[in-house]
Amino acid sequence: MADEHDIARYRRWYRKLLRFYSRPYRERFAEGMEQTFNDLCRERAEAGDGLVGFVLWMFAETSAGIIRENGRSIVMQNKSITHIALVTGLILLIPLFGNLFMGWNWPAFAFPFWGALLFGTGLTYELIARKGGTIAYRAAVGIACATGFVLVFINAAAGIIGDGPVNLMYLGVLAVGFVGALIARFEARGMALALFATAVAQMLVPVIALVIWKAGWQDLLIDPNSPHPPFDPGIAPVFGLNAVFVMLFVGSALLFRRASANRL
Amino acid sequence: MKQVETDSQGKVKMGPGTLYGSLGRMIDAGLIRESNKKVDPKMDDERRVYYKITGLGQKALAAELERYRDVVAVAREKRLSPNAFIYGYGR
Repeated sequence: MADEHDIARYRRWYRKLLRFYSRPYRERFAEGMEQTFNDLCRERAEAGDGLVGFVLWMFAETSAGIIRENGRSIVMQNKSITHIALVTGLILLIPLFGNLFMGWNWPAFAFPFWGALLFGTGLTYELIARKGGTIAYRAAVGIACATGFVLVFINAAAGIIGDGPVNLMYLGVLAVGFVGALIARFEARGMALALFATAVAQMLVPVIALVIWKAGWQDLLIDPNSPHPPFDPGIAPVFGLNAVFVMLFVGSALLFRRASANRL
Repeated sequence: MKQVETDSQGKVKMGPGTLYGSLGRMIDAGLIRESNKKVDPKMDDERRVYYKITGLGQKALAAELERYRDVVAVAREKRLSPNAFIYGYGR
């Protein structure tokens, strides 16, 4: 009877120790490890052998395993960061060669700007995607990050709705997604809602811009010195381009929902 | 874990930290995978998880055994033993 109490207590402590493993590792093995620990303790108690020394050895052995696995995870993480930096560098070689040999005219500040943006997008993907583990979750994070990157790219390069400050509303769209993801703590179910909200925000941007145009607040829509009319090259193409982004955000949300269903 | 201890005549003592870490690495490397097949229905327990060696795992095992055989063959050929003298030049 005393052994039963002791084993239950050791098992509780062992469960607490297992919390030091990374989450994906815990999800895979913690239950099995705890059960194995419990079975071994029972066998030992039934054989009439002492438990304290054995439990201490098990705790030391598992602690060494935790250090090993977490160290391995840090090495893998650094490898991923190196890969992202390498890919960023390779992509930036394209405009560099364009400037050198093909008469492109990328300004010098554009390189660190796009480099930081590309690296940041890759890092965001890597940090969030590893929290999920399922293919659907990773794909959802990939689509959301890539869509966000392209949205910033198009706006910085040309602007979706004319070339006025109204395009800054798209930063608000990304902020909706970012804040939503933080509130959801990157859990698949909450991420699905965050991405649906992002899609709605994306859909509202051209509608608000249209209202601004009809209200006659032209300065908000276009730069006063711009030769382009508002909603250049037309209302339908602007709404069409927005619809593509909306669909991508909705696609990402659906994948997150699928990832959340798989986990249940 | 008990099998490892028995096979090594008590020289290797393995705990859950080492066992599950090894399982994780072998799964990630594609050497083993979870299997639904139950080995012995009498011994079966709902919670028990079985793992099966994959084709890649079999190839890796064969290559590793071959490596060990080669090392032993070289040792035999050179008549190496732990008590053999190693000659060197100094001073």
